[in-house]
Amino acid sequence: MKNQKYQISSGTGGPFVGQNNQKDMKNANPATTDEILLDRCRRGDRAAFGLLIEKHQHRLFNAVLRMVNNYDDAQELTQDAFVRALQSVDNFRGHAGFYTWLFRIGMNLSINFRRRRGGKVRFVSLQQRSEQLGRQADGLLNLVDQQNILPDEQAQNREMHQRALEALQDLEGPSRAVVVLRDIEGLDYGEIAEILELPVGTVKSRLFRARLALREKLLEPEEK
Amino acid sequence: MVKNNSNYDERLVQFLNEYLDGQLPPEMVEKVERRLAEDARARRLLAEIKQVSAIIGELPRVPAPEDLAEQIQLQLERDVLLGDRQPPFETAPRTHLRRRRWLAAAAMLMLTGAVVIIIYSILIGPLPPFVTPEPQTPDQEVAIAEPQPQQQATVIEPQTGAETVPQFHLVHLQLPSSDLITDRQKLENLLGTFNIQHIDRTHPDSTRADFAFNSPYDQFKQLVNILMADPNQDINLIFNDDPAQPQTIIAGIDKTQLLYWAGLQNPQKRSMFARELKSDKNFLSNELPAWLTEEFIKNKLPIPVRLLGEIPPTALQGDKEPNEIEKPDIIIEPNDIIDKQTGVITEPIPIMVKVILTLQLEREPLHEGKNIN
Repeated sequence: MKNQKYQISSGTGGPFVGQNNQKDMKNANPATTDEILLDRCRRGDRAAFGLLIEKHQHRLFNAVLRMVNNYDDAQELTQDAFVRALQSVDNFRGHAGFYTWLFRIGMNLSINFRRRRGGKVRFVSLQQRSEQLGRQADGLLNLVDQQNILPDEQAQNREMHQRALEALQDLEGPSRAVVVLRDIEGLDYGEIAEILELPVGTVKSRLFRARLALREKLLEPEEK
Repeated sequence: MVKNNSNYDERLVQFLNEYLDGQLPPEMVEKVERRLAEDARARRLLAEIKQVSAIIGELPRVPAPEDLAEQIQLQLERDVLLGDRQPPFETAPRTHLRRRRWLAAAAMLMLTGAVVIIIYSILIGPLPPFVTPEPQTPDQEVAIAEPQPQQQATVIEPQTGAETVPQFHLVHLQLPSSDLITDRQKLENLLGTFNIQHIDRTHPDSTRADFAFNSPYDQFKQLVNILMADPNQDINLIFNDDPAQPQTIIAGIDKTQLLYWAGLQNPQKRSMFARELKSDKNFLSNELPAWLTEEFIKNKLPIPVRLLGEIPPTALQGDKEPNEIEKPDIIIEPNDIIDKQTGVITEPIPIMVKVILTLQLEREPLHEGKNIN
């Protein structure tokens, strides 16, 4: 009954790592490229996909979170982006980088998610809401701790961050995506255009309009 | 030149953005810097854009949940179980799967019952090599995958001798709901009562929730009895007997039809059954087709010994002795199977039902309003 080839996902290496694959991970060359990992994925190597997740999850999750402004929705959409990427990995021809392709999926999911949900009431339990806010507050507190900011400044920063999050949500999805990719992800216009499949000129115009809109909401009248 | 609402030249604003982001062509940089040197308003605007960009850029980085990779793995398995996707990493030929199935089941039992359900269902389901489905839009409902034809009722393992493989039959039911939250809780309570470990998924648009689990046939029968005890609860059968066609919904399936559907394993017979159901909503209410009983016998499955349907109340008021009164339910009794050649009596094959219950919101939420995320 034994089948040495069969491996059950377990252990500290994460669910995509079987026994042999854990060994692979330990021995993985740090310079292993996405392309090599993708090639391994195509051959059914789930550890390779685990490595891709490990490599890109935090950036994608954070970007999606800023798109939808809800921790659990962001988790669900990030998961879905990775699952869709895996399911269509055979169709990925490498014209763009994996990161670009993954972010395209994630951004499109986020934009469409908001479009679908727009205008409908979403029921969120108070406990869930509290936990979500707590997690975001933890992130703020960590940042504050790292930067040794004085308490007054902490409060101001919190308020500004809250206003920034609200202002971001007031932008249309495609404009929000441009701002997130530029100001949070730090991508250049060409990369943003590739991810969103837009002309660079459109990226430029959306970005400057979005920043003007944010400026109206974020800066005090005397600052303008 | 078009002016924005702050009376700034749009081209200037765009150039300042590009200048700030280092995306301006070199030949334009000098021009913009000259303008900045001459124009205090332009300098102020640049400072404001820079400030806005910095505020957004300084939003705290929130790391992904620690269990994200695990959740992705679960989602892959759940999607396969729910029939939405094909298993992505399974490339082994089908002949190896039986041994894998038992090894997986044994290990999973030691972990959690929930994982057993997922793994088992994946191994039983269709396993094409690394198939990439077409991208799906959220609105496209993907038909639930029908199980592959079972090769044999029993499987002989070369190394360990004979063993019995449970048969899995997919039954996907839709339960219309006017209150998804309440009905979801009720369903969870019901499954809890039966100690059924399940996986569930609420669709992002919050109009449906899927519950998936494996259940022994007898347990499934009891579950159906409870679900159908509520006369206000419609139960619709969802199936897809032709992969080229969208899924079909048979509204208001009755208990008899449902229990026979759950027992059928041959895809062709399931198609026959489905065609009968589609053409005649009262199918099985009068008599049982011979091919249906033959199918149960041929596959060495527990035979429905009586098909009685609902008993009219008057039948209980007649002169019959209590033991003569037919019970208002299908009775499925496991029959011992006798091999005609060897005379060996074997135990009946256990039937497992792969169940998906979909709570489907019948209408949009009453309260339309602003997103309160």
